[in-house]
Amino acid sequence: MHRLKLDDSGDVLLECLRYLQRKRGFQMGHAYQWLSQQEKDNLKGIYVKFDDRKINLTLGHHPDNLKDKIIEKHFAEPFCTDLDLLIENQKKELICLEIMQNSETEISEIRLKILEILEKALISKSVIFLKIDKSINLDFEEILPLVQWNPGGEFEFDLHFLTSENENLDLEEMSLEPENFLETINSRIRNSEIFEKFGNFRLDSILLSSISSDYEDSEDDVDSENSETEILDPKTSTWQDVFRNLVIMGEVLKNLQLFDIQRLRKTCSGARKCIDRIQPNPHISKYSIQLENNFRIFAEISLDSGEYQLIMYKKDSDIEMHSSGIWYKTVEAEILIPRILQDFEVNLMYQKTEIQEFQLDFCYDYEFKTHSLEQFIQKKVEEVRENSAYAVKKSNGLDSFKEEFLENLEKFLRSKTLKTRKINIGCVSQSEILKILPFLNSEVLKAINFHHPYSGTRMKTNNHVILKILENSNLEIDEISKTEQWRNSEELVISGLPIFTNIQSLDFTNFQFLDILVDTVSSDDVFHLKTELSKSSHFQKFKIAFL
Amino acid sequence: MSSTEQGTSSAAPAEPTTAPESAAAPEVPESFYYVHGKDKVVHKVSAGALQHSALIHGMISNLGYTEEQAKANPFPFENIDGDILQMVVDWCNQHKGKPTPPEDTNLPKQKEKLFDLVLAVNYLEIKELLTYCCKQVAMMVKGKSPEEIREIWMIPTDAEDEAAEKEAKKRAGKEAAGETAAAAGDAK
Repeated sequence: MHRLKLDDSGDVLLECLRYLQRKRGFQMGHAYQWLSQQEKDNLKGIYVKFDDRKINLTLGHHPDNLKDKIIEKHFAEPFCTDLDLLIENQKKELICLEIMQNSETEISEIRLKILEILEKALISKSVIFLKIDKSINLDFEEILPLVQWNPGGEFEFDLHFLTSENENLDLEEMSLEPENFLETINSRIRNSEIFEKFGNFRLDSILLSSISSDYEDSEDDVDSENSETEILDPKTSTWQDVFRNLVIMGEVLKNLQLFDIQRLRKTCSGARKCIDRIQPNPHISKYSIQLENNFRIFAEISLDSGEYQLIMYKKDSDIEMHSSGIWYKTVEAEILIPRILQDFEVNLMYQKTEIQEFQLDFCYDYEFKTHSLEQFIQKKVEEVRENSAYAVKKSNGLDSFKEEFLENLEKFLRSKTLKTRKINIGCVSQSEILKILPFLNSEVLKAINFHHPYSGTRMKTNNHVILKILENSNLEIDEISKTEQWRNSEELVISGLPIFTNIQSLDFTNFQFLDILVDTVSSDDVFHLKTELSKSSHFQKFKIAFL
Repeated sequence: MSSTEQGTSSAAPAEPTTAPESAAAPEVPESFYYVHGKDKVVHKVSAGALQHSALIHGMISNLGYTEEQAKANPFPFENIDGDILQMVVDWCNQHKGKPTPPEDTNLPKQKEKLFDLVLAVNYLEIKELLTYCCKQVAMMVKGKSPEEIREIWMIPTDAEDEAAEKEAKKRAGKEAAGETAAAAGDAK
């Protein structure tokens, strides 16, 4: 850090202001304060002429376009402050930056200061367009930092030498014509050896020009980035500035969760950009997706704060309404699945911690609700008798819909492993479960819960009826039990759905809590479980129900 | 600088009111610095309290300020209202050398004051106080619709913002044209 030391004769206040200027762009200045904001923003040229008695600072398109103000006596400091501010706050490329010494009289301090300001500007600004005309003797060592600083080769340097004060230099000896010499300088400009060889030159002009074709875009980006990260000036800032400031918004967002973040994101583009860059944790605790049928899906999102939203994705309608605490979102038919998965991805994108539960249900509430209970039970009993547990799904085209959904979900889970402590799946097929379970983070997953979709959360009151209907349904879990997720989990609950796989072929020893439903259980099975589970050091409770 | 030093009157809260030091600790005379806001009222603040502000702390360490120099030249924060600076100074004094509590219930509830305080605290880089202020802002955002948020904090919609920007550009263009014409008139 550049450390300034004050002595008693030093202008403490000025140093104070300059410190603030450097830290905060506190735009005090001298000539600078006479400029209108428009002039500051559209500065095209800075022309400096100096000798030992005065410094002329001319601003505008051309030196003739003068702002005539005079600062008497101690003019060097104010000049440097002004030049610093002008270059630092330059919004557009300069057509010309010309620095000329009127006489051969050296004011080395001023010259060094100018170079220091330019160097600082070049380092802090990623793109700049400068033409520096100098008709002064200049030691290369002074300007070397400027020339060496050329990130990404963005600048092209042309140094024009008309004469050399180095008597040892013999251009002819180097077999170089002046034009070729210039080219050579251009091509070798990044090699500092050139300076060691040629020593001190009379430098007549330096042209730094941006060779980046996307110059304007990159400058816009830089400006926009700066405005978001910079410390705001209390005098001129608005709430709008506050809502797009990364530091302040970062602190605000630490106290907000998904729904408030989403609402804040919709207020204005500044807040939106800021939130997207900060990527705040949405604090989702539970994400539940229920496929009711092929034209209606529910998503329920619960947050750590206890807030929740129930969102209905419905085909063939574009109405969005909010009623009784439920958000109904509707989307066009052909994009129903991509839309719900896109929301799922976006909502969880910045989740920094694992969610507590991910629930997926293939339930048929809608059908249940559209029939009387008796009609519904009768229909289901008939379907089950016909040994067609999927009849209802097939008749609704739900099978293909569910397949499409699972395929898309599998793709998503393959690309981004979901971290959830509990998985709760309501379906009747091992193959469907295997499209989800293996892609969950096995280190985080501690509880596995399978249930029949008819016994989903929204059908609880009728579980006993539904269970009777579905007693012929069963679930194979042989492949599931081989997954890493199964092996690392501590809790397994399979409800409303008898296990079809032979118990003795399954390894339950990793579980602390077990609650399963089986078709039949033999004395051999019980003996096997007793033997196996007694070997486990963390086994706590095992409940087997059978039909 | 024309200032009204209030080291003993309005700056009275600046006098340290810290918990008594441990008896075993050696007595080190505390140094004091001075700040003033837009109203030029000077506040005397101990170096310990100023540790909260990264900006002022940086100014002190980088400028090599002595106490005498500081007394003659208060840190000028002309862009901060006097009452807000007073609030900040009080907070710094209250929390000097103490761990900051998880909650601070003494922050202003009115959005105008809170706004000024957020900006001042952000400017002075007082991280802990900024955290409290931002929590307060977050509490005010909670449960509000985008429309309500825009209304409360006077944030224009994107469309309004764009329209205002266009209008400003148009006005600036006209002003520039006017200035050029005036300059041409003067030249004649």
